[in-house]
Amino acid sequence: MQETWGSKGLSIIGVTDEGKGDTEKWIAAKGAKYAYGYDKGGALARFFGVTGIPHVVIVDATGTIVYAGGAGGYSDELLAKATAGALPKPLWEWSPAAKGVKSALLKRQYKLAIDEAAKLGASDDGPTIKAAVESMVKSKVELARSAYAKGDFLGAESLAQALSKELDGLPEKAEAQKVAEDVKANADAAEVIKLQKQVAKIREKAPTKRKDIESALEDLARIQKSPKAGYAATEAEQLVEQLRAALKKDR
Amino acid sequence: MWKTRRGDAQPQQPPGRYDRRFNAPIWGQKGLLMFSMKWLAALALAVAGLGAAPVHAQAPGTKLPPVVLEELAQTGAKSFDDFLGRAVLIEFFAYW
Repeated sequence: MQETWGSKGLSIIGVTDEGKGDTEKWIAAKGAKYAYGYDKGGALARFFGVTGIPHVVIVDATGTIVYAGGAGGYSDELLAKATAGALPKPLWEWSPAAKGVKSALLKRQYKLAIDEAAKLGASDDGPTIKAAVESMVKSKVELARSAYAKGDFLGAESLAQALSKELDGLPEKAEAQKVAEDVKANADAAEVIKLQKQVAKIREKAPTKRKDIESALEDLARIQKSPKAGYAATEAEQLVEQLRAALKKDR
Repeated sequence: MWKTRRGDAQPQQPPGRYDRRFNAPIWGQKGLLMFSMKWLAALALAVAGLGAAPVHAQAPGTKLPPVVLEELAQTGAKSFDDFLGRAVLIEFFAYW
């Protein structure tokens, strides 16, 4: 899989919260070649609500989760979408001459990254890196736009605000600012954002006790009933399903 | 067969610690120990109950938070940040 999708922009990484000694023996015995790392304390597994192994999460090139579930539940089509605009080579495989681009990217300074990439010759993959960074920028702006289009005002606003800083000096900055302005001008946005924040707060609390879950479900029902809930109702519904599943499991 | 200190012959028993009152294994062989530990882990999860449920599950469409992974192996990446700009397939696995 790494061979097929690696050059298209996909990196595969195994994550475990098990001990190093046993894991290394297992990796050697299986002859597994993919990258792996340790999620000590299981914080990442808890974040994704991992209850069964193997569990797969796919994140696209913009850092957005596009799949979370069983190992066989995703398609090539989804991988193709996830890798759209992804860097064909990971940062650590870049030529040492591309150090400046890498450093700018890690600081999310996209204008500087593009300028530094433009200085690189073809032997250092300059044109490819430059095109990939430009594509990343466009994908990020598109993500903010699509969040706004589906009524995810909180997502659109936070992404647009971040991009307004990160895209300083690039023409796409104006597009990101336009999304932020659209959110501000939208008559329903303030109420939806307020309710989205309430849903996010409940999710962050991650209730585990029955009475806390029941109380969270009541709060979510109230949010869903709000006439101006919009996308907050969709998010509330997703969380309600998860909490109900948790209650069911507790029986 | 195995022998006591006094040399009396005793019925064959597998090695391991035994409860003298019941002549029953406490932990027994390594396999039994592993088996018991897995059941204990399963029991702990069952007791934790909702703690193991997907309350925190993140739906597609949400942004990945900062990820901290220790001791990345079989990769040139030093930290998860090095995967910036790449699509990433994260597979949670366990050796058992």
